[in-house]
Amino acid sequence: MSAACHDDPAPERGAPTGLRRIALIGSPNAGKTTIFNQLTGLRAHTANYPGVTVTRSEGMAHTPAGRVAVEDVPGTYSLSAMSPDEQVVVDLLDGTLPGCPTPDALVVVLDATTLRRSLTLAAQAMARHQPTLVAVTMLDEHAARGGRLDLPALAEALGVGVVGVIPPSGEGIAELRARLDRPQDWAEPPFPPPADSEEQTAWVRSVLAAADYHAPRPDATTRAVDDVLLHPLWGGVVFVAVMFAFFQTIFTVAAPIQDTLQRGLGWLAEQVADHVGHGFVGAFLSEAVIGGVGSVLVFVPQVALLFLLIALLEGLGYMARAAYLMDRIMAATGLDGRAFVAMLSSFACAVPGIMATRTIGSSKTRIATILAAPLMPCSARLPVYVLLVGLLVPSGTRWGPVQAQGVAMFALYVLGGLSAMVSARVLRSTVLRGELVPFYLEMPPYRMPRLRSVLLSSWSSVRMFLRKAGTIIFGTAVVLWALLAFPTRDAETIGLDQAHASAYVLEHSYAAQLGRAIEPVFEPLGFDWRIDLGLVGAVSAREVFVSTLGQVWAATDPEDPSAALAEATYLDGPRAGEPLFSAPTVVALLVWFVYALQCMSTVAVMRRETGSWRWPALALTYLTLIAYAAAWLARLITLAVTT
Amino acid sequence: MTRLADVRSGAVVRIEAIDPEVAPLLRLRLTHLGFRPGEQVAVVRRAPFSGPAVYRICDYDLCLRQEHAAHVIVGVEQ
Repeated sequence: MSAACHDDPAPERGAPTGLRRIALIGSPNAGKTTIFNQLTGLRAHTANYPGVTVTRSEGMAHTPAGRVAVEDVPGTYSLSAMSPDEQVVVDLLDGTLPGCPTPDALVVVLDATTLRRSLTLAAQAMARHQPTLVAVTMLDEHAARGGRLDLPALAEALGVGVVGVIPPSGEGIAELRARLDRPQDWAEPPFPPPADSEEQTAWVRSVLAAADYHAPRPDATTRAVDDVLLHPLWGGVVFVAVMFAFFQTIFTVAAPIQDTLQRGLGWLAEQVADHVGHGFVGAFLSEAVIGGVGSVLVFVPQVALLFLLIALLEGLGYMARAAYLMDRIMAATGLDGRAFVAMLSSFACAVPGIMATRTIGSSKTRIATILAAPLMPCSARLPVYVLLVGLLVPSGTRWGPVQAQGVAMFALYVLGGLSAMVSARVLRSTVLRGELVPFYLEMPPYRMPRLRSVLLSSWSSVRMFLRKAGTIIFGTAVVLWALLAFPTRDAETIGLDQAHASAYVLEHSYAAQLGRAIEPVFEPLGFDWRIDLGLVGAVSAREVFVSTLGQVWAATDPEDPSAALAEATYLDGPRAGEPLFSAPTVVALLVWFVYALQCMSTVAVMRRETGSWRWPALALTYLTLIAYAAAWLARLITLAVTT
Repeated sequence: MTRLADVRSGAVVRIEAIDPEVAPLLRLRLTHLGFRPGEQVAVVRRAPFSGPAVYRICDYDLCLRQEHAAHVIVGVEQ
């Protein structure tokens, strides 16, 4: 297989040319990915299929005779495509995907408990006249629920090889592995299944009868649990409780780890200052490297925990229930129940939120979700909101029993959430209108997920977050640091103390020139060049705004930058001498941060997940325009109210 | 003519056909999901406010929206 098939150029991680290629096909929840993980271990490589929003997962399986490349084809109920995303699966099997040769053989993974439905998929696969093998999973669960199935008879009726696989115990994996070596020896069905869908129904019945198939009883525990969890009233109550516990865990469990990380980074910066000094190298290490990488690192515990909980809820089967409960509300926004999971993740960070849209079947719904996700109040906005709300509302202000700062924070969250819903609605009725793919969702029985699967799935997401976010934020941190620190002005600052020297360097830095250059743009919003500089820094990531303002005002008053911030006045221009962080300016800034797409990681992940620059460009444009207009309006309203 | 979307929760019905007016690809998808003429389908539960419903078809539970369940034509309650 060639590197042209991959979105990112990492040919050394794909399968070398000339290896036998096996495609794993199966419905969602059939246990396909578990088999894939067992066959390939941790050596899987994920990327996007060219041009579409489908993740491709490929790995190597060690077989008795050597190695084969195994491709985990996205889960599907049907091999007839209804959307470009589904077409990828068909093209992949046809070998018409650029750079991806036709697989040498197909392994169809079928869940024994749903054989009546999934045999249709086997019929479609066998109709392709490629060597085909059937792997039957969930045999233990099938038997436990009173089902019956004669595997040798099933193999005879189908006319192809059948392997029973029980992934938890690894049973059948060795046999499957051994068979992967010699697909040319796999049996050809003497009578291939009919292509016509009505005749297929009759074919499925006859195969099931021949295999002495008795359907399992519905899972009694699942039914009983669903009676509560999907109850019109109690289902909603439990849902809210689960969501509450979800965020409590993310924020309370992650917080001490984040504090420890922050302290560790602070200690590291001190060590650098002590041992490397305050010179050029020391400043670069402590401000750009530790500060830049640190701003990403502190979010990792939260993101890892988020992925872990989502993988756990997904594995248990609760995510499908949450999607069922939320579908009515999501339908009002033009999205569907599956989009809810993505929106939920976006509360922590839009990057994992956008990555979570992969489960959405319809590509238009998926892109609308991706474009609306950055409006969800993510945790990177939190430090910005805390700082600005602190400037707007004195701490301790109370309106009756409620704390005013809390109300302001809550209002910002509501504004963000509502805006996300409205923009999804607008996108779905304009540029992303319509779509044939219906919303359907299997409600699998509740199952205890395997720890290994949960860890594996969350680790692959965390790794992606680290790689993408780490490189981009680190890059901008370095650039920003250089803009603030250069030119060095050694000659001019001779004889000044350190505080005055750094203030002088800052005011004459490239960054200051940049800030002053864009000052006219933001002048109507009441921002001066120092705030603009914060916004420029925050283009990479929102929380950088806080540290940039910190750096700027630390130059003014290194002892207490936050006090200096509160007392800041306009330095020049018609407003010179007036307080800078007046209510209208702060409100405009807050509203700006509600809407503006100030996060390069999000832009990068949008590009990655949609496969084109078109959608991130659209998101950047519409969110920036809305941010500017809304901030301007908010300033006017606040001015009218306060004067 | 009864449509699956109109069947009360708890009822079991037999599928007679998929609405011939429906786009061929959507018809095929519903068939692949198990909505085949002759199969039995039970309405397990319905979400309030005309939300989606859970159906038991081909030995599994599937959540489908009203608008799509309306494409499935079913016989009288059994």
